[in-house]
Amino acid sequence: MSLKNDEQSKPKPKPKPQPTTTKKEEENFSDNSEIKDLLSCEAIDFSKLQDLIFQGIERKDSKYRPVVWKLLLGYLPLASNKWEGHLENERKKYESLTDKFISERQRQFSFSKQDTVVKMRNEKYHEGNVSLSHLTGAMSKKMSTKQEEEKLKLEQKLKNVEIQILKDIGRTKLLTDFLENETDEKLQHQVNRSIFNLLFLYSRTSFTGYVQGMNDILVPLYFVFFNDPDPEQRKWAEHDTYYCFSLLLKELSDLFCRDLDSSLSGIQSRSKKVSTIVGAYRPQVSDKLAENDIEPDFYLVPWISAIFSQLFPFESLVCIWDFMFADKGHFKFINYICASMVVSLSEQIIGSDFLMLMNILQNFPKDYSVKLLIAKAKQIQIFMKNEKKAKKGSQKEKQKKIKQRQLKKENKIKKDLQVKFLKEKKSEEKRIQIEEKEKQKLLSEQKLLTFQLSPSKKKTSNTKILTKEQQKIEKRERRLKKKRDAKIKKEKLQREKESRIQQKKLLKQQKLIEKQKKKEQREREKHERELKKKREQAMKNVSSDPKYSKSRKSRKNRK
Amino acid sequence: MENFKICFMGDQSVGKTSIINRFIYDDFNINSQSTVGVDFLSKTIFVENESVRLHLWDTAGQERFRCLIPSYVRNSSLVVIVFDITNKTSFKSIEFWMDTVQNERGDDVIVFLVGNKTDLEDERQVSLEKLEKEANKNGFLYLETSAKTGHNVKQLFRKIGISILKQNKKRKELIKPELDENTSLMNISLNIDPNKLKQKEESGCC
Repeated sequence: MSLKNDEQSKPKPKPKPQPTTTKKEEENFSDNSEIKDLLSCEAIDFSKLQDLIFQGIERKDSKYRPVVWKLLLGYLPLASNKWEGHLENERKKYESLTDKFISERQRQFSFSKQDTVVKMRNEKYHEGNVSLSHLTGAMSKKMSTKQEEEKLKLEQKLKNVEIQILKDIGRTKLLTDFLENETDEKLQHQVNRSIFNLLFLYSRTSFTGYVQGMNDILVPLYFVFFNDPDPEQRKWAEHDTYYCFSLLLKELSDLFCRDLDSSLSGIQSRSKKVSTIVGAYRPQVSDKLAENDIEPDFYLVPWISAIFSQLFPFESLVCIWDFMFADKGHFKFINYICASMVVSLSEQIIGSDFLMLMNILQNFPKDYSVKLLIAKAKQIQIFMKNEKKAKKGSQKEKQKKIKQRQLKKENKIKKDLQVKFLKEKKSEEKRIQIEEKEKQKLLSEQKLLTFQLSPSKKKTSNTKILTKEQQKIEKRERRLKKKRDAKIKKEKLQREKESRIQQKKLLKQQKLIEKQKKKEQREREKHERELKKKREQAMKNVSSDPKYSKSRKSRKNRK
Repeated sequence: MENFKICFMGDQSVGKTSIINRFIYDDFNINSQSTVGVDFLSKTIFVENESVRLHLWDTAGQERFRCLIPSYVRNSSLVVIVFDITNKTSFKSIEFWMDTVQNERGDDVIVFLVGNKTDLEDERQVSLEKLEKEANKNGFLYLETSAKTGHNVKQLFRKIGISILKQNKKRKELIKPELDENTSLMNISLNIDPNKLKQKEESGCC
């Protein structure tokens, strides 16, 4: 790579391009060589690269853009010593892909002048029809096998895709602008040729097939690689674009699937997100738009679906894409840029009626400063992050409160049980004390009796009577003891039973709480699974596009 | 002055945007950018000594935007379905567009079928008779235009204006008598009730 050759170009003081320069830009200025430093590392720190590019690429650093994009999109490996081998491999693969999927007939297309594209597409169109009628004639003559039928269908399908792509190449604004200014017919042919190859190959190798609007995203990407200052890399612009385009569309596949439009990640949900952002950041603006029945789809769909490529001139667009690729939130920055665009029009919006509003929103000023736009987008991003944090914080607090309440309840129950236990213990102790007192009383009575009786022992007649009395007393005592023991045993048993029941109750309550927790978890997991399934289904639906078209046909037939 | 919403629909690259551009700017660009989502333009025209403001909603023909179209058809007083006379499939998909309109509005909307690109007469694949048949079958208005040469474009919008005004008058007439009847609501209710009661009694007897 030629990066190491560019060491002479040290940051030179440059006149400030606009009066809007802020401290941030000055910081960027001193950081200028950082891109080069980072790229010349043996192992590139990806998140550092993201952070750095998220500060923007200065005009004088634009020579690094092709490499930076390839890195950010995941095409180039992070270990720079592997680049050469990787690129060589991938480019060879691409060659074999073109050999496989681009037919001889397609190779002979000449794209030298822009008008010829239109002419040729018409010729091809007729050719397609002729060949089809010819083929169907052959079909009726010989009962063709199913395989042949399928072949025919596929051929027709490919023809239609080809015609579509040729039409769309002629309608891509960035491309037509370039061709108008380019006088070299060879170059014109080369660019058109590459764009056609890329779109047609992508239609054959991806599960979404070709969807209109892909041209608008492909062309800027191609031009960045096509304008690589390093001629060695420029040669392979088409090859590299193919892989970068595939990687980019993987991230943005939601924008090109009809079935996903109303799903979570489709265009409509994106535009809804933007309108909620605007609603949070500038409620007056969103109120004004809602008052006039202006739905976010009206202006946001054109902005989002081609990622601004129809809105801005090439230079500005490329700068916006830098931020988009460097964003760590997987292209969520698109939403903030859109919000920033709406907010930047807020002064005009607030004083307008329906007609003016539509006019303002559909004709965003092409020369609007990208720096301002991005700066505002970043502001909004930070604002929304804080909002989310606040929301999350409040949610966490709520959850905490709920948990605390639960804990309090549990504790109360426990405490109550403990208190009961203690009370019962105390009552037991009291009983025991009372019983002991009674015992002592009895004992003292006995002593008294023995004391009274002891002098009379001498008299045998008396002693006999006394012994009888003693026996009687002893008997009474035994009976009392038995009774007491039985009572104590009964009480003990009861107490034990009660304590067991209470313990069981406690366990039950704990189990219940645990069950509830598990249930909540399960529900959460279920919800997540359903969401995943939905997404997967949507993706499947997309991948089975031919079926979809079949079902449509069959519907038509029924009618 | 009243506003009327008019929705342009049809397959992609049949010339919806070009017709509108010819009408509003009297201009034609062979490589006009494909419409993304929807475009909106408005123009005031004079028809039968009345001025009418037309809100033109130019929808995208691309498949990936078709789920957005019902929301544009809503509240529109007239729908223009455009097809390309050099492209059979665009004519065939008229049925699809009709379905989307009827799903949203039923028969409560005027439909105009427009075959565009008459300048490419050599490549014509859909004859005028076919268009006529299709239109008469459904009670639609129809016209062939060329945005490139401007053929019939002014005519198209004049017709649109006239038919919208007609329908508007009809509606107003429909509303007025109802208002008159409102004053004699009591009589009507008295007149109707006995019959209904009788019917009910009869049905009860059976």
